[in-house]
Amino acid sequence: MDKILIDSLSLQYADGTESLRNVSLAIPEKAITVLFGPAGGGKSTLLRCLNRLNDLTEVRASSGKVLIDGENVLDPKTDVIALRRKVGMVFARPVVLPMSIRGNLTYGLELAGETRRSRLDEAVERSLRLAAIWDEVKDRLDEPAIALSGGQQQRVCLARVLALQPEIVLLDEPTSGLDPISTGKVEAALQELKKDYTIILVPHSVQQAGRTADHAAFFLQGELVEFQPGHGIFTNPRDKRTEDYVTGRFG
Amino acid sequence: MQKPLHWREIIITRLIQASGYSAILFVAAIFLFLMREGLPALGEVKFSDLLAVRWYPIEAYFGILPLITGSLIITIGAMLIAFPLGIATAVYISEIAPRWVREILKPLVELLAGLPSVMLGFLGILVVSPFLRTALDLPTGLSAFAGSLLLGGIAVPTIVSIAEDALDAVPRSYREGAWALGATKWQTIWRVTLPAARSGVLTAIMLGIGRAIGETMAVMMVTGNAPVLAITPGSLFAPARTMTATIAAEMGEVASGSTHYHVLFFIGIVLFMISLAVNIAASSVVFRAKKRAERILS
Amino acid sequence: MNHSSSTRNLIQRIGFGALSVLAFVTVAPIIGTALYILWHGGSAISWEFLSGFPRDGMRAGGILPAIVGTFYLTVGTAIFSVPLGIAAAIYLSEYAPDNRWTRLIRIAIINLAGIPSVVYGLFGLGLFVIFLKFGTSILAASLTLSIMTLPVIISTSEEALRSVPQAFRTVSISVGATRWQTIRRIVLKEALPGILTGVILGLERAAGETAPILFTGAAFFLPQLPNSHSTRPWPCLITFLSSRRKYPTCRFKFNMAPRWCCWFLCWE
Repeated sequence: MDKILIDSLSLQYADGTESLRNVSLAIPEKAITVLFGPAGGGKSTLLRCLNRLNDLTEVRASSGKVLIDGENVLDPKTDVIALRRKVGMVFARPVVLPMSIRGNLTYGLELAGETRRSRLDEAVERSLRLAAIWDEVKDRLDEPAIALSGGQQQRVCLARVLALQPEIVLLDEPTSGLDPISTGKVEAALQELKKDYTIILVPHSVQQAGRTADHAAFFLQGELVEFQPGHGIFTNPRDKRTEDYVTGRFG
Repeated sequence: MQKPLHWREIIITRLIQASGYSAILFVAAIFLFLMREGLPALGEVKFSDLLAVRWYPIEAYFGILPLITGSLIITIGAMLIAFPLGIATAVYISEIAPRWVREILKPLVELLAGLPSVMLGFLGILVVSPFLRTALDLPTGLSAFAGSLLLGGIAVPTIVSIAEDALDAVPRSYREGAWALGATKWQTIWRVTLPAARSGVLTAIMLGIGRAIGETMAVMMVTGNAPVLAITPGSLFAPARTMTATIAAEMGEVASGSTHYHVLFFIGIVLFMISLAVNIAASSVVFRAKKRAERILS
Repeated sequence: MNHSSSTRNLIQRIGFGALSVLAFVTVAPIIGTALYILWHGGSAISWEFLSGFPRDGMRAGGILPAIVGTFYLTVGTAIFSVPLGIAAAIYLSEYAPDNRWTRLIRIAIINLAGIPSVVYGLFGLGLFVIFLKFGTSILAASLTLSIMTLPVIISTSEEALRSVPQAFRTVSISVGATRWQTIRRIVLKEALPGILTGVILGLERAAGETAPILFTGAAFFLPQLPNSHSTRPWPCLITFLSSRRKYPTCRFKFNMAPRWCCWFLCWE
């Protein structure tokens, strides 16, 4: 089943930098879909369209549709707050909010109006376990989150997203600043998460793309060059440019 | 997923926006009320009489030229003192001083910037003008020069802190580039750092001028307040009277709505226009510099 | 080569020496002022001086009314200018688009900062005292001072708000916060120390300013003794100073000394 349908989406920023050109893509549910390619290819822009985070940036022009569960989220009438609770996002650099670990996890829920302590505590434990960091922080939930290591912070960020029980999780190079051990933990967590969540990952290397992808799409300079369900894009690329990139001839 | 109406959010956003725009409203209101009370002066006193050299309101002489020249000569004197000291101190603090000296000097300069001017005026009366009288052998120490000295002292902290910010903002790589070419620290300061920071330094000087022209109390206390035309260099050492001091000293004693009252507001208009001109000039330097930087970066 | 480099070094040493001397010339008077005032003013401070009412046509007695007057004015100014200033700073830092209107607001703020204080006094007289018929009162003076302190509060607060990392905002928005929720729960909390600095700087300026309250709040002629039940305005501490020529007494000359103590406390 396709969770997200992107239909001829084009976008250009006001300063003329990164943009998307006529991208159409169907993203299946409960799997990891990887968007990869060299920098400036439009992968992050695409992610930010899915939860309307591009509203914060000055966009010169955009056209096309993004259907999530059949509804066009680019419609100005969309409730973006509800959308962002449904579509969570983890950023390239771990950004913990300036509060305790617990505060980071309950922040989104409190904004959504949840005040019951038991529900909040439950959500904290559940999401920290899902992000594979519960054992490391369970005794220090009320300490400032900034005191954690980078790898731990990034998993707290993942947990913060999961606490809201989203349906889709977007990850924009989530392990680019992490050591291999932390990276491994994050990737392992993702493999668990895909049973329940639709995951879209922008990896920080082709190797990571190959390791984690259930499906993969290759982006180059704002265009979707190739999309194949399954691993085919790495073993049997149809487009010459994809092959050159995957085999390391450029990039 | 239809968007619910967030009334709270909308109202708060509007309030915040209105607060932002209130700054424009206030400038306009100030202008409006100065005009309302000041423009009638033009109907009551002939324009040529306003530009005369005699200020003696009791006998209806409303020549504001002595006041304008008084303000000018004191400001010019103040700037002659404050430019070199201000820029030198800024360069010293930002480029030369060792860390511990900088950490003492910066708060000290800010402390001076925070002193109310009446206090400096007092100091002027008690220390500066008696000193000037004996040192320069003047009939009275209450002179334009005493005003310049104090105004210089008032303008220096403004100049130092803004110029120092500008120098600080010059990227370290500029300096390293110059050092790599074999320039000494001294040459780097004059040929690279200062020119790179020139728009900020210019702003500092402009705002320093603004601060000096607008200063009231300190000037009123030490300049002797004699409304005589000050156009020769010698008048720097004679008593003088500024526009600001005139307003402050006489507004309390005039009948509301009288000609004298309107003329005092008219002087206010002149002051307002001068500060407007100085500040718009200063800010256009800032905006232009920013645009240039943006062009280079994009 | 050797020669020229030694010449250059000599020039540098002379230049640095000159700059150090100039910097010292700038700073020395500050230290001198502080010592002078503490030396002469310190002895004039007593409990009676701080807590008494003026006597003998202000030739003797205490400065209590002036201190109370300054306090009322500062509080009044804060009530108007702090919320407005912080809101304006929030608008400029969080909401304002980069367009002509925003630039106009910035120019307006720069101009507000540059308008001579005595012109604020005229404005306050024209608008609050005469047009709105507030009379010379704490209210009129506070409103005038509020507008005068606004630019200081706005620009320092804006700087503090801008120094909060953009990433906090993005993250907060991405978990479903509205803009205002983000500002209230994250941005303002982080910027608070900087904003407080701005508020203190602004109010300090208001408390030390004389010219604008001459026509709007302070009694012109000081012989009237203020008391707490009268509707007459409190003369302010500063007005004593400006009326020095009329009522010179050696004690009142140094009544800024307590202020100095406050400052030193503030800066610590």
